[in-house]
Amino acid sequence: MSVPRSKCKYVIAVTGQPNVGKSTLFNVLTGKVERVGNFPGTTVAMSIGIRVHKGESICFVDLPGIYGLKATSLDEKIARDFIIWGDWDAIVVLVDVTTGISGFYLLAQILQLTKRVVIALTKWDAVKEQGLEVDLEKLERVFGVPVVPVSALKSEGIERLVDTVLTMGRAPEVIHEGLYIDYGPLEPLVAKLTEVLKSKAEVRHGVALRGIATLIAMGDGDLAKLLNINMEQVYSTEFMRVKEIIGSDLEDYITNSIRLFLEKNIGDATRFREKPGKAIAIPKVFQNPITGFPLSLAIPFVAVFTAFAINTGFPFTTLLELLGQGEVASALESYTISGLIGIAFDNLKSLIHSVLGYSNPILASFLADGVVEGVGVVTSFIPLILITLAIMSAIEDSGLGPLMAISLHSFFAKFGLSGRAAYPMFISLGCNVPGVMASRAALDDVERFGIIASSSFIPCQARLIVMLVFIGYFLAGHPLLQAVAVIGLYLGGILLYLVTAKLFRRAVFRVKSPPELLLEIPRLKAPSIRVVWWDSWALTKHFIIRAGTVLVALVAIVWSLTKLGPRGFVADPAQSFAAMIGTVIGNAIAPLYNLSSEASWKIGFALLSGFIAKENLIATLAILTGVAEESGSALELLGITLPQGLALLVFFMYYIPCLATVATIYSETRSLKLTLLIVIYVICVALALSLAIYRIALLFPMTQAPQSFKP
Amino acid sequence: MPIPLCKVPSNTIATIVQVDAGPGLKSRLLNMGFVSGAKVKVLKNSSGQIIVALEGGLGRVVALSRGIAKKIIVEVQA
Repeated sequence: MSVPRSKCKYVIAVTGQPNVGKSTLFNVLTGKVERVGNFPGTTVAMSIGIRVHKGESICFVDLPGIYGLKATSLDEKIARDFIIWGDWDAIVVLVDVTTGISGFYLLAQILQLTKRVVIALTKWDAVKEQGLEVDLEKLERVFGVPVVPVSALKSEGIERLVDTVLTMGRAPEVIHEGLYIDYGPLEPLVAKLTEVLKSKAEVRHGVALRGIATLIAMGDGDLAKLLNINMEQVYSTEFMRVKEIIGSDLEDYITNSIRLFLEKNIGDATRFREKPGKAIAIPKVFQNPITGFPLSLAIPFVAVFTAFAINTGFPFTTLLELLGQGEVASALESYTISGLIGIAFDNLKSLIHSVLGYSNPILASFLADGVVEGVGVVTSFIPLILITLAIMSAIEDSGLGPLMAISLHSFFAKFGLSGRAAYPMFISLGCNVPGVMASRAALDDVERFGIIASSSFIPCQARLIVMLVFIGYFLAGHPLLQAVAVIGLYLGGILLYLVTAKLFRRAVFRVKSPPELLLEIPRLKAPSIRVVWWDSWALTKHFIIRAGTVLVALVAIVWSLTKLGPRGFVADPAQSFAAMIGTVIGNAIAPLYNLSSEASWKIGFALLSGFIAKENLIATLAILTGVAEESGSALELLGITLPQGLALLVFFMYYIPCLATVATIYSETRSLKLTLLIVIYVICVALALSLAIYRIALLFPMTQAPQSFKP
Repeated sequence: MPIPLCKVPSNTIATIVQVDAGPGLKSRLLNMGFVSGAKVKVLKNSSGQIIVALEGGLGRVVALSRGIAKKIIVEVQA
């Protein structure tokens, strides 16, 4: 287990059911949060928060929020395996008493494995506010472990919790008996499994084998396999016999016994002082399909829109330009985040050129146009990703996320997606990379892969720039057509997203049934700024490290390709390796669109560099045609007609996920086969669409610009 | 008489008799507290999904699609 013992005197696992308030408490508990690799055998990052208490370092390991230990997804497996095999000194189990008996279910299961547990009753301020009276002594007596009420919101009970945890962590390790729950007719089976485990199981010292036996009896086949217990052959007759005696499924029976145990022993430990409290109220506006649906779409839309505006000034800059206020627009743009970053990196580049330009122009060019440019590209992504993720995380932490999901579910279910798929879709509008990462919100793996496969069809902000340049040039003077084209490309992307998700569900994963929704609706609350910052920064860092390194390296490679050729360093890009690669790609597509050979290699190379980062498309065309600024003039010099331009625009929009997205798709799916399948599928769809647009546009004689097109 | 949860009208309390789902979904439901004998209150039964509160209306609130609600068999007290 990868907990760094050098940094941690004590290791404390923290777990609890979803919506119990774990992330908020975890934040209050720990000052510094680090991600130390992954949980063993998974790609799930393990977060550790360190708190120095009375001179000793305590590391809190954040286990996934789960309802019970019986594995139904990776989350339960991670928590279960960490408890059974992990290197920990004590476990803090969080319980929200307002959820009633079922809120204690996970706790009871963990207590069956170990009693080195401290129970933290969360949201204590809300508990008191609701007039709920809790018999703490009774809880301590029944469970046999310390109980500490805490309020992360008011920072109450935190010191006491840490003190209690530390005392538990210091206590010498003895072989514990877990919490004993009588399973009646199942006892002989549980006892027999426990005996078998005694002889062969290697688990963390002190973990009660009876608890493991209970999980196996519940049908946790994965756990049995890990412990080399062959359920099928050895115990199938035993299981069948017991099943007959109890007249139901073993899992039902055990879950039921745990529930009855809790009802009998702690059923009266929580009581309402006066009138019973009210269930969580769902805001009416979300319940009404007429208001709920548009509101749920509007929330993420406004979020992405805000992220755009802060980052690049869009759409205000575009509006100002349309109103003929180009100077104001560019002034505004230079004060946006990406504007400021651009200026800083431009200054750095001219500094390098002025210092090294005379003595070593090749090195200067490599450093300025290769390395600094690459770091600049990555840096320009960071604010957008961070802002988008922060807003999304705030929506999730406030409890609005599930409400949006239920309002959107009926619509998305038609396309084989659940309401959770709205997130990645809207995040993808900002950037496909966090969009693909947001697929983690999906309900199951099939939906998750469907979302990953579809995400790159959503035009991201970088592609918007390409779109605006193309549309601005080809449809100049037709603001209505321009608007139609922009909206069409976005709607087309969303449609492709939905259709692809359905296609992958049906054809690749062969799932016919519509996705099901099973979602807890938490109480709405103000989002915690620290939680939001922590979540969004962690994922942004993930991007900087994973995708960022790849991007910097690739921009350096692109520099080599454009500045070097068979004859060494070349000033003219036409002599470079890039031209040769571009020619191959260009020649392949030229006949389809009737492109001139001069234009085809440049477009081919632009496609290549657009694969590395979409916003490079226009820049590359500008460099190759020798145009100083990124505008439509590059397109003019290429002599492209309107049908060719529209077809290329459609192709540019959808043709391939950018390299950073491909890298992210691979890191999220961990399947080279699936990644390749997605890339090939996306290319084919884009090519087909673009050719269709080209053929359709040719049918209209007035679209054929006079300059160069000859049928 | 036992009926599926999807047929229970809004603002009605029902007792779970049995969860008739496949292994994965069944475990998820059991973990969340949809155990036989548990009382759930249907807060809203609309065309899209069913929203219930566990613990007879005081516990956690869960939204279920009809497909899942069909698999939870309940008994409604007269």
